[in-house]
Amino acid sequence: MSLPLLAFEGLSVAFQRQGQWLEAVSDVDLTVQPGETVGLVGESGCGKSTLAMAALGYLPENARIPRGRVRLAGEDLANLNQSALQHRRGNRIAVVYQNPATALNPALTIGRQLTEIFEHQQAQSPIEARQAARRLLEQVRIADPVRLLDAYPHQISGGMQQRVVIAMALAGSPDLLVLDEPTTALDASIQAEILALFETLRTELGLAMLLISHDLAVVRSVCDRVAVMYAGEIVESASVAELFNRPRHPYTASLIDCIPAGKGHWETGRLASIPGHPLALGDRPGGCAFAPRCPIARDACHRQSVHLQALDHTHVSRCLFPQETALPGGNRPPATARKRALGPTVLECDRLVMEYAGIRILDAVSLDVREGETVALVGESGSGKSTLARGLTGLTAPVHGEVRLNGTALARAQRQRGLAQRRAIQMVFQSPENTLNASHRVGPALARALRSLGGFGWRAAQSRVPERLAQVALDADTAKRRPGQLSGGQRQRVAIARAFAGDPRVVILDEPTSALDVSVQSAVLDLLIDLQQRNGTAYLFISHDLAVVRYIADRIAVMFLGRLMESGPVEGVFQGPRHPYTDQLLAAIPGRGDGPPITQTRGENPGPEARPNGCPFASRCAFVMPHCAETPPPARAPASGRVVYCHLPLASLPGAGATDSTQAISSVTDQVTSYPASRSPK
Amino acid sequence: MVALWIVTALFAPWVAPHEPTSMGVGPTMAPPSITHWFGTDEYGRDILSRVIHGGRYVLAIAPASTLLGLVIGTLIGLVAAYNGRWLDEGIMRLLDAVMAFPIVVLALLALTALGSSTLNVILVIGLVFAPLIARTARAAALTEVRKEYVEAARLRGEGYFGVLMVEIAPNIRGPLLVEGTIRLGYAVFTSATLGFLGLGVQPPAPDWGLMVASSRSLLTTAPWAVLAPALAIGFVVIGFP
Repeated sequence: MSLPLLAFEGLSVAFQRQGQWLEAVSDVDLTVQPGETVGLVGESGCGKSTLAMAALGYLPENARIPRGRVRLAGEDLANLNQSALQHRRGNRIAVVYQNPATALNPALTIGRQLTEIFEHQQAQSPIEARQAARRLLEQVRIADPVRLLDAYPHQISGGMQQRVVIAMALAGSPDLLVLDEPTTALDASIQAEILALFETLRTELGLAMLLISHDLAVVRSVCDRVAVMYAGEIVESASVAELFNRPRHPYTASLIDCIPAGKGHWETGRLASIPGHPLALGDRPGGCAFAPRCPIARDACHRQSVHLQALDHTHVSRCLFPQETALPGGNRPPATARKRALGPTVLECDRLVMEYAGIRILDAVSLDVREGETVALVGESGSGKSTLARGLTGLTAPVHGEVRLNGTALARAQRQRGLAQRRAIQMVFQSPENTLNASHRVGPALARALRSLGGFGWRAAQSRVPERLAQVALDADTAKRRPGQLSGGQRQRVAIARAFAGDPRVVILDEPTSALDVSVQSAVLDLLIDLQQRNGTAYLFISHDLAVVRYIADRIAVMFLGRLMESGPVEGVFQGPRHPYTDQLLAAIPGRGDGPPITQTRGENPGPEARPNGCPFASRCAFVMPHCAETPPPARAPASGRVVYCHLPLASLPGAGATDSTQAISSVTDQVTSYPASRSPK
Repeated sequence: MVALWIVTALFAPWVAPHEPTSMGVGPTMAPPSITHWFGTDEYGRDILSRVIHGGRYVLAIAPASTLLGLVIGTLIGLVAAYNGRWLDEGIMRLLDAVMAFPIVVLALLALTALGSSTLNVILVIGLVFAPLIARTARAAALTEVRKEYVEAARLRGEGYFGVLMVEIAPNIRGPLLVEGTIRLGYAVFTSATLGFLGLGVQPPAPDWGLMVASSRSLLTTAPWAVLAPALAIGFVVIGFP
């Protein structure tokens, strides 16, 4: 074996908190070989980002390394002075962070930010630097690099921004890229593109990568080897195939079973969830750190300290009983299929139009949700999903169209609706940080909701708080806490309890789990399913994650640029035939296929100001025909209850059956000369 | 420093060695000495006693007017931020227009119209401070009104002032507290300025501004008579923030 590019050798990192040194990372051994892609997986707070900072010699002031070392191409980072360290960063190792918007300077053009690197670090002339910058942008597959050089960061999309950040990281031609949650802030389809870019860079430049992520599916689709972290320790490390097919640590196995794979509805099998909470810093028990939450833990696990043991030459596990780890799927509860009777339509909207500053954000969308049913609203950011939610609730009054509750038309503005109508439609929001009022304790906040929605008096409302907390699986103690003292998952549970305070008929869930760790996500999804079972509540579930949608929804409505693209039962849409846009979203689910998802760099989204008369997806569609952008697409019905708005005949839609559709497409190609024959339907 | 001032002002009748208004407790215009620490003025009044008693006026005026300014300003700021659009535009442009005048000019104008009394001084200082506080409140509230907990409250049908006062107001405490302490210092300064101009508390009451004004002709012969109240103003203005 050659010298590893990056090696953590028994590394521990401790942070000082209130005079105490607490270990965030303990005895980590991990290497990245040249050209290798290593994934580092774990939930928030497990120490993975600390490890990334240690790799760059970027630890904050209040951190120290009590044991072990970091070697960069053999050199111990601790022996390098600041300027040497500065030189290594950029030329040997570079980093890409989660949020591209904050990584770029909003006041400088992209070109300026890129050329700066060449002019200052490599002392090139401005002209040379600009050419080098252009080459970099081409390398990250940006279609029009010259135009982009003169653009400011806010003028380009999030996906483009992340490409630019990657280009900047590549500027010093490093051997190793550290990617800290590089796609977490992005839409599913853009995530797929960025992951595909990593794959290209790897083969073209022979880059080694350390990919840090909480998303096992992402890691699975791009990495060679994966290390799983829990409570600051590496608990298992193996090749991707090994780890996902035969995990040897119960934590890994549980984590795998928490991921919705985009393959089945919950009625055919629930996701696993991990009981209990991750450990707080400095709260580590004597034995195995995972023992309190482990399904196969026994006395020995709580008593004796557990070391990493090699199972074969590539697979290591920090478990006393690695052979007893359940196979993937083994942690999932048995299927408890239950026939649910769907009631009458509860909430519907008819040709709803919404505008913002004169621009039509939502263009005549009709939708309905039945009692006890979950309808998923899917689309990328800017598709109008959240705007539709605001229109339905009346938070923003629609310009045209009607919203009906149990058949009765509602006032457009929320203020003009009566109490009964208000309590019938409630909402759960996306961000766990902002969904609760930071200055209100949980108890009074819930009591307030019970009072205004449940119609209880102050005392009656307060006495019901513990019961409501229990319904969302929270301790009665939580009532005394402030939101700042709760985890993201706990806060989202409180928000759910708040929405259910007046026993609503419809709850609009606006990306309720997209900011949560996978294990927390599966628990929250489970809670939502249970609440629906008990109360017969209808859900409108807004999401850009089709894997989650496949798991929780009965029906799906796909939106693009403020228009409905298709709607119908989830199974039907997943089986096909389906709209080309839906097909693109499906291909973006990481790890759904065998290899990494392949998506082409597509045309730009024209934006709501320039929405064409015809199909809004035309500029990005792989099957586009000349008349697509001019004439509105017809409604096609591949099956009962399904609608697809597309100019393609049913038999040519993606997923209509491989042989049939290729023939159908070639007949289309005969008529249309400009048809790009780049992509074969799945 | 500020604590010492508050304590002495509260217990002025017991702390001060002499009555602040009684004349001839010592020789006129005596320099600072063991018996009269800060000296005496042209009527033979003890300056230390007058400075200590003068603190009482400031103690009443500054916090009361700042509080008034905070209440009015916060309310205006919250309404502007929460309603947004034309109401926000309207309110803010109006406040800009008011703030285009120097504070003292505004206060002068109002006091000349209303007549000067302690209550009027409090009202006027409170009102001229309100626009400044309103800007801070609005800026802080703007980031809050977009947060989801506010939407959740609207969805529950909480009343207008319920959303403003119970939901949003507690979350902009921090910036308001900072603004309030700065304003408190300025309130001392403004009330002294008004006193100096003869529009605040009327003589022979021992107001600091008034004392500086009435003794300024003695600046060359008895500088202590000006210096003592001036230093008192300086310390309190700087001490607050």
